[in-house]
Amino acid sequence: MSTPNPRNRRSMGISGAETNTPSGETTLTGLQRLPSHTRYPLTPSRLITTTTPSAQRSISRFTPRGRPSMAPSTPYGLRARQQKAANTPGRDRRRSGRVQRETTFDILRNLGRTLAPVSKPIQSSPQEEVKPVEEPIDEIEELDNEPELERPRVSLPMQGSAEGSEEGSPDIPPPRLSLPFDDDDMTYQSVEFPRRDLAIRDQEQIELRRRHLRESEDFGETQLESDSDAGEETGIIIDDGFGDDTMISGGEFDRGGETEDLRGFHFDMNFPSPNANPMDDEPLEGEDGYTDGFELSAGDIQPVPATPSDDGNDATGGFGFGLDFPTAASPSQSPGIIGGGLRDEGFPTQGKQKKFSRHGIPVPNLPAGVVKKLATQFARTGAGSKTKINKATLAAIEQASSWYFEQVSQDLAAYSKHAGRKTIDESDVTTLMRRQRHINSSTTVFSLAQKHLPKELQQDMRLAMPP
Amino acid sequence: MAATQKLYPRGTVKRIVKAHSNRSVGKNADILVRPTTQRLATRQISLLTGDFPMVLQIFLDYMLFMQELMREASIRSRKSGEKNISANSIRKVTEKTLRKFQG
Repeated sequence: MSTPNPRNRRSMGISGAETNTPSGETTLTGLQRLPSHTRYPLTPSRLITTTTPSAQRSISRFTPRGRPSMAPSTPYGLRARQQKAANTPGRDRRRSGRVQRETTFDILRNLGRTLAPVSKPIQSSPQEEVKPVEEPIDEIEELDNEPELERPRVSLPMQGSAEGSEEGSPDIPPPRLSLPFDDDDMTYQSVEFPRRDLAIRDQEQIELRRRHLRESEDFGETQLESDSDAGEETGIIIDDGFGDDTMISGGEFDRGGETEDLRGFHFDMNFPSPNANPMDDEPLEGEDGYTDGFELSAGDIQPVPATPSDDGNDATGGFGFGLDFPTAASPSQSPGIIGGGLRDEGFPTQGKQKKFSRHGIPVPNLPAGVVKKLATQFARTGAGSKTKINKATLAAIEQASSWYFEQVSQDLAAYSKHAGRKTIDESDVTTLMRRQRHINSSTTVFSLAQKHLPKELQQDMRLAMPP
Repeated sequence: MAATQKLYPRGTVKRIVKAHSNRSVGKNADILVRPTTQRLATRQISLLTGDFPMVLQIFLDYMLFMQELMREASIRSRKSGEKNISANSIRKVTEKTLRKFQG
């Protein structure tokens, strides 16, 4: 049994290739098709006038992409396809090994195709299928044969539900439902009051337990302060006091005993605490067990103020610009710089005017007028007619341009160093612009300058050129 | 050359590059030797006097950078619905644009 997809592919391939053979073998059976295809791989005569074997090969082959989509059903379509294949002979070049590969595959496929009308699909024995069908029927019949259940009550117990919950029996006699409202009020009260009592009692007990716990702790602390009752079993005294007031069951007394145990534990903890705590800053005795850890953390805190500067230096070194030196910016810019993640200010004490490169040379700023002029010019071309650049934006632009100059000049230094020069040369700038993909074979520096530089500068360039 | 001084900060650019690179920014002293190996347009520029072409070339590159920066920033600010280009959009765009201009 063959899947429909390969069959389709095969039929289309045959129709594409075999109809062109002179013997007209498409009418033959599938088993004979394939040998003929392999036997005459280069049969010269086709419907089309192409005679060279290469063109013919290209006719007989089509790309696997095009095949399933367009199968030439009409001779016109077939001819058009052949012409297309002949016009682009290199299109199917990659399928040179395809014919040989198809042979074994097609042998199997044709075998399956010839065997297809003979073979029958496997049929499972019918008994197994019937049995599971019959069994549930028998079970259902058995269930039907069982004695009938009691008739379910159709009516819903509206008011009997409360009583039902109390009584615990689901079946309520129907005459109960037809009782007047006075009885309902009675049942309501009779149901609700005991519950309320229970709830109130529980709340009281909980409150008393809380009080008990709290007061026992307070009592323990007072005892610790007095240090007189340490030897005594003070829990018994506390339980006696509460037992008189509250009329609570014996569980409360046990609880009191547990608190007493806890309090004794506290008492034991408190003795070494003054010796272990050299600081004597903390009046709380219960937290003395944590003072050691706190002291350690305090010791850790001390180097922490030194770390942010290190982090800032690491952050500057870690970014791809390779600029390690701190760039002093105006304080209004600094949060934005940190937020942008480019680099942090290493030394915030530096002023706005004095910036130093990593070589220790003071770096002048570009005049703000030039930057603003350029920014407004390009913003106007980019965004629209009226774009205003406020102060913060201008500061950000200046910061970006200073970073740009750092990057560019370090690249230029790298190029000149690679060339073995000590001066940055014009070729370095050309190399830089070429690596920035601004200069290539079509665009030169001159064309760029003509495109971008203002006319005055271009005039100067022309004037400066020797005649 | 006096007119060009106003048009772009030639000395400042030169000093910035010199400070960052720790190298002297050279003049085109060897105009007569080099142009034979270079293309026509580059020769035309390199025939200019003084350090004008090189610093101007750096400044041209800076102008391209500014153009790219403002273009990206305006796109970003327009995407976020701002009227003007804000400092935040510039900051967000700066790193990307600087990476574009890495030589």
